[in-house]
This record gives sequence, C-alpha cells and structure tokens, in this order.
Amino acid sequence: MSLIADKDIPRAEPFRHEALIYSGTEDFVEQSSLFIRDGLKRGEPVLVLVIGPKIELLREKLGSDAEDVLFDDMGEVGRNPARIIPVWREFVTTHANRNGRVRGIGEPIWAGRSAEELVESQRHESLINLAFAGAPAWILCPYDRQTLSETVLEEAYRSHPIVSSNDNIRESLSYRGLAEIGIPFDDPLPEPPSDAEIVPFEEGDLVSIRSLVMRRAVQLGMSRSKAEDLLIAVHEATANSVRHAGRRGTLRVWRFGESLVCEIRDSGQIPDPMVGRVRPTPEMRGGFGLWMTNQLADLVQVRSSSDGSIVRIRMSRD
Amino acid sequence: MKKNEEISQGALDIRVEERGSWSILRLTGDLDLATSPDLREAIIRLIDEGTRQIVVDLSALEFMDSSGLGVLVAALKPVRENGATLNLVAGSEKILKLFRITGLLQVFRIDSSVDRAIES
Repeated sequence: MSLIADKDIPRAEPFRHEALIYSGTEDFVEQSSLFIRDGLKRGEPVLVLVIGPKIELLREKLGSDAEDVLFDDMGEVGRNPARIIPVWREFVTTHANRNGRVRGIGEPIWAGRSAEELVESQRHESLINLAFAGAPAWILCPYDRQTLSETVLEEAYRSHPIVSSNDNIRESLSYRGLAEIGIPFDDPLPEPPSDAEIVPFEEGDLVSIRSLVMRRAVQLGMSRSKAEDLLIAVHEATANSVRHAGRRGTLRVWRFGESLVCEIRDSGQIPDPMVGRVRPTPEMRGGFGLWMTNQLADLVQVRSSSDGSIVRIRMSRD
Repeated sequence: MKKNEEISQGALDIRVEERGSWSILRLTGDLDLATSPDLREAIIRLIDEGTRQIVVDLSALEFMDSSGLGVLVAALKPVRENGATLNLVAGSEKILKLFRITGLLQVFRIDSSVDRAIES
C-alpha cells in the first residue's frame, strides 16, 4: 500500500506535524499568535481551525493581521473529525507551491468533546501524518494541559512526531510512526446496547432498511433534513456491504441520548486507512460511498479487522 | 404518464420524451444500487440510436445514491466520445446536496427545469 495519500499535494519540504502543549486560554492566544505572525512574516498562507470562541480571541489579538489569516470553525468542520483532513488537503493543494510552505493551527481536541468524538479525533490526528507525509506544510495542534487528561496528552505524543511547549521543542519518543498508522483501525468500540434493533439485510432489503431508518429518525423527532442526510449516510454503508462484503450485513439501530446510532457490520475488510477522507474525483470508480457518509453524518466510526468491518453512524436530533 | 404512487417502492421508472433534437429521460422513484444499471442502459441506448442531446431529469426522484452519481459520471465518457451533450435537471436541495458534497456540481450542467436545460 502506498503511504502517499494524494499525488496532487506538492511535496517539496517535509511535513511538520507538531503538538503544542499549552496552559489555559491566555497561553493559547499568546503562542498561537506568535506562530501565525511568524508565518505571515515569511509570506506563508495560514489557516486556523479552532472552535468559534477561540477564533474571536485570536482575531482580537492579531488585529489587522487577522485579515491575512483564513479561519474556519473547528466545531462545525470537525464535528465529524473525518471531515478535517479534506479541509487541510484543500488548503494545502490550493496554496502550497514550490516556493514555500503553508502553515496552520488545528485544534480538534478540546475538553467538551464526547468520548466517541475524542477517539475519532485522535485517529484523525494520527492519519494527518499519513495524509500529508512529505507535503510542504506545518500544522500545529494545540492541547490544553489545564483541561485535558494526562491520557489525552500521552496520546498527543503518540500522534505527533514533534511536541512543543513554550520555547521547548522536542521530538516525541513515543510517536507511533507511519507504518502503524497505515494499518486499518481496529480499536474496539463499546458494545451496542441490549435494546438495539437488529436487522440482518441482503441486497433486496436496502429499500426497507431506508424506511426503517426514516421511521426511527421520525420517532426521535429528528428534523427532516437531518433525517434525509442520515438515510443516505446509512444507505451508503449498507450498499457497501452489498457491493464488497458478500452481499449482506447486519444493521443495528439504537437511541443514544438525543441521537440515533446506526451501525452496519459485515464480513468485508476495509484496507485503506484513508477511506472516506479523500474527496472522490470523477475519474474514480467508486469511493463515493463512505465519503458521502462522512460528509452527511455527525460522527462516523469505522473499524476493520480480520473479523470484518463496522461502520457506526451517529446523528443528533437537531 | 405514470404517477408517482403507482410505482412500487424502490423501483425506478424512466420515461423518454423527445423535444426537437433533445431526448429527455424523466426519472421517477429510486435511483440506487439496484436500479442505476437501468439508467446506464437507457443513456447508452440513446447514444447508440444517434441522440446527441440528452437531458436526465432527476427532479421527481424520491431517492438517489452514489450508484446513481456513478452512472451519470460514467456516462460522460461515451457522451464526450460521441460529441454529445448530457445536461441534468434537479430542483430539490435533497438531490443537489449529493452533487455538492461530492464536488460534482462543477462537472455537470444542472438546471432547475427541463426548459432551461435545453436552452443553448
């Protein structure tokens, strides 16, 4: 398998993926603005993906310099963390050229993340190394040591080759490396609850599966547009089982707080760790399915092992 | 013309309508994994019969998936090789969204009505 995920990304300089361990909001604003201004001084395009309130703080600190910086709200872009890499990819391919590097700040992990979002954000952080290996980009990922647990910080050391704090920059000795990141993700998911609705399906059942998902979404009081998005997201995963995994699979549906969770299990394997994170091109045959699922759902958890694969899709009511 | 409710759930109905040099494929029902091969055949048949101006009207579809997108994208090759034109009609956000999130809005000409689609 090729570790180079996309031939369109210029690869003039080595990619630098760095975790910044900071202490509290003031320190975040201080260190982030230094990093941004340093980039602007060198004429490098800068993209900042952090949650809305932090965008406001950075704009305030940067003053007129903020006009030269691209901002996007990580709370929206990264609600499903599988949607973040495509945003970086677009930024890098649009702005990087032979003359220079681009830089960015991406904070996909903050204290308010749910346990499921956290694990997918951590997977995303690892995959960034694979997606941009060799690309002329410097992505700085801030981690707040005041609000995040020690376990989360330890994982930041495993997903980033470089870790810094204040003036201290060092290589991470526990970085897991591209070889390990490149294998399919098989971290176990929590078992579905015992009251989950279980529906085995085959090729001819996809229409009734769609009706079932719509019925459960309506029962939960989901808005029409979110229910339609969920319907397509789930359909694409079941269609993949029919296409690639012996024409059958098992759907489980359950309520999780104010969300509906739909899980598709089948006997197939998903060898590509970047599945659903590379925007399909018209020349590609296939590859649209899990991309669409990722774009439409609030959270998508993909697991694959020799036992088969799991796609767990979550959509909130509102 | 057959009405929506007469089509059984999950089925795709394809009607061909001629308007001058244009052939319009009006789709009703579900364009998905099971039914998209029918659309591929219908487009290929039109090209084989010598039609060079084709409109696929998606606006009355109940449901469409990535297989439907895939058939439309795959049809571009024979369409271009034969110097033909393939325009789409889609009105609802539900259908347009699929083209937007897959980056295919830039690949197709998509109009809101058949009348617009056959304007030069």
